[in-house]
Amino acid sequence: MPPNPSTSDPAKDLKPPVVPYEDEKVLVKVQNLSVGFGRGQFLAVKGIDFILEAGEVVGLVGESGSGKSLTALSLMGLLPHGANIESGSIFFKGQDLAKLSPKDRRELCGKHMGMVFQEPLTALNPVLTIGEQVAEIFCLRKGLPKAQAQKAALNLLSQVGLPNPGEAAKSYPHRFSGGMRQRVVIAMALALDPELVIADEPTTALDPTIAAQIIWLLRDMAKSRQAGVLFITHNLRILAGLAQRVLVMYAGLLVEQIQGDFSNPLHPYTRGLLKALPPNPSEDHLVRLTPIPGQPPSPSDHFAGCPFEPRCPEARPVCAQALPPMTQLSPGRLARCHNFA
Amino acid sequence: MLSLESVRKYFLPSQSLTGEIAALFRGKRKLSGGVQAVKGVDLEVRNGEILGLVGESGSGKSTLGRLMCGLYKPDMGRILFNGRDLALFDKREFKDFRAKVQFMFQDPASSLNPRFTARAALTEGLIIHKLGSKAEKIAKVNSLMEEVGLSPELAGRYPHQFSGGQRQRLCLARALSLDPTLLIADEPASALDVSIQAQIINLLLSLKEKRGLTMVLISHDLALVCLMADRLAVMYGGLLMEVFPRSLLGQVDHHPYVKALWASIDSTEKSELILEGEPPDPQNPPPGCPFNPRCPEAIDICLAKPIQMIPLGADRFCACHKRNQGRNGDPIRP
Repeated sequence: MPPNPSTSDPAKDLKPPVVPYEDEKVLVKVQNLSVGFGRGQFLAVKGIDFILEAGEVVGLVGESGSGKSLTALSLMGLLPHGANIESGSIFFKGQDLAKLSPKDRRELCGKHMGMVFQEPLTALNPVLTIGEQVAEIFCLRKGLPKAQAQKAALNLLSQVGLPNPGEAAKSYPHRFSGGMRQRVVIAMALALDPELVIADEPTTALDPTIAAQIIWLLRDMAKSRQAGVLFITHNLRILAGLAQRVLVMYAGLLVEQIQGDFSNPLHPYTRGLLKALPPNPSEDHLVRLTPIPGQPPSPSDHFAGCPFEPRCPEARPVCAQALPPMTQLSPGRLARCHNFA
Repeated sequence: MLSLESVRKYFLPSQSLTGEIAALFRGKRKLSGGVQAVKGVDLEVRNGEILGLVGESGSGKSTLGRLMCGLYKPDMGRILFNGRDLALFDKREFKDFRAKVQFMFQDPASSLNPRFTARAALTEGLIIHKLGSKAEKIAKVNSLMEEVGLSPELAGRYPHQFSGGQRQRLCLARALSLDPTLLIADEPASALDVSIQAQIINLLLSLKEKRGLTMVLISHDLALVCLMADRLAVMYGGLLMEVFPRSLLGQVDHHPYVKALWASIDSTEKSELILEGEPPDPQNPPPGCPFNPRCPEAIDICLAKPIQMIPLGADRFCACHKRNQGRNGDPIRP
């Protein structure tokens, strides 16, 4: 157990939380996290465990209602009204986030985590200019005087590839296209060189050629800052070449974790997801896709067994009776399925 | 079946009364800030085919789709349905045309009336077109619902009681209720989850075969269009860039924009083909070819001269100065 958290901190004037933790490579450790609505009647996230190492890009895949966004929001401490963490804990560099005071938590999340949201227009303040919004971060978190903060903001805006940063800083968000707005949101998320960046469907609202630009910008920016990235998406294909590890969520549960090449998933759900995508254009024409029958469950549905059992082509009687455990199949590869249990 | 001849569509900014008065006082009678969404498109939809209309937001693909089914009227050019000009249809003929050409919208939640049950949504068209007796209408609703994979027992439900995929099935049933010959589907699957998308796409393909429908599929997803379409028409900045049979994809020297779109599907490697920059501002389009500011192959003429569709080989049409050098011709209708 090395006592010194010696991960490189690029922002020299920001001190990382000095707490010894088990493995210095582990940036985020989520243990048995459950998120529920109301008084815990509806669990949208049902006890998930995962770790994210420093500088690693992890993909979190799931359909709407699978709990992937709530997982991200609970990391950031931004759960919507009515949603609560019912159990489990989140460690950030060995520090239990639940045990921090609201002020310390705010400080930690503000400086060491950044978030890129799906819809860049709602993530930006419509009544502040882009320059004011970006400079605000430096004023608030680094205590820079206004002129210096503005300079830093301009520098940052040019790094994310805004064509005319000086002009852009004076404009309001509505004047920007979706891709440009997303660049600004990425700039803000990475302003303080955070160790963790959470990107929640950052390209879903964008056109394909712009989406490709944004993905590579995010990747390059995170790489140059050695930030860990949690990339949330419903499209498994985007993650090829981007993520080192993929976590698949279904009905609030992690059902599979794949390290490296994920063209051959093991869980029937992940396999179904891959098969349901249109094939590459070079392949066959007019073939029928293989959809997953039925519909994703809603958080109010209760399952005695595996939540995928009603839609699973390989379901056996045992699947309806007991929830299969997450089973390690090889290093870095886990699946929650009775086929492997 | 349907052919468009140099169709153009402008949108003027919605002018409030006060805005109009202010413009009068300032002596500006001319409305400014208008947008030309479709800038002269020649295209043919052939009997029995699936034509894929691909483009990014603002490319004019949805406007073109709406022009095709008569939801918008072209400001210039003609739209011919089975050889007859839409603009010359009388009221009755236009009503018949609208039964024959149906539109399916992207977002099933907002295109269904929340106060109409599924049954009411499916019979509305039958009532307007005075088709069938009461018993026949009921039988029609049942058979339509079965056709799209919904249980007829659900006919009494309201849209909010259906899931997203079921709502899109209902929209499809509604579009089919008047037995159209041409179905225009605007992003039919993009509002749905991946596992549900595939269900809707398979349903569209099998209905197309069963009913012998002609389809126009509007989408920004090249992978999806390539799966379904027989021919692809790629739009950018209100103009067609290239029209080609699907079998030619990747076999020929495509328009640079088509190449870039294709590269953006496959993100495993950072391709050199990832485009810089943004689609053009529709209010302030670049001179010459709309793609020239982002085009890696742009030459001088691209900045100066508007592009023209020129046939390049069998059934392929391309609007690119570089590829069309040395070939001249009148505007061609692909």
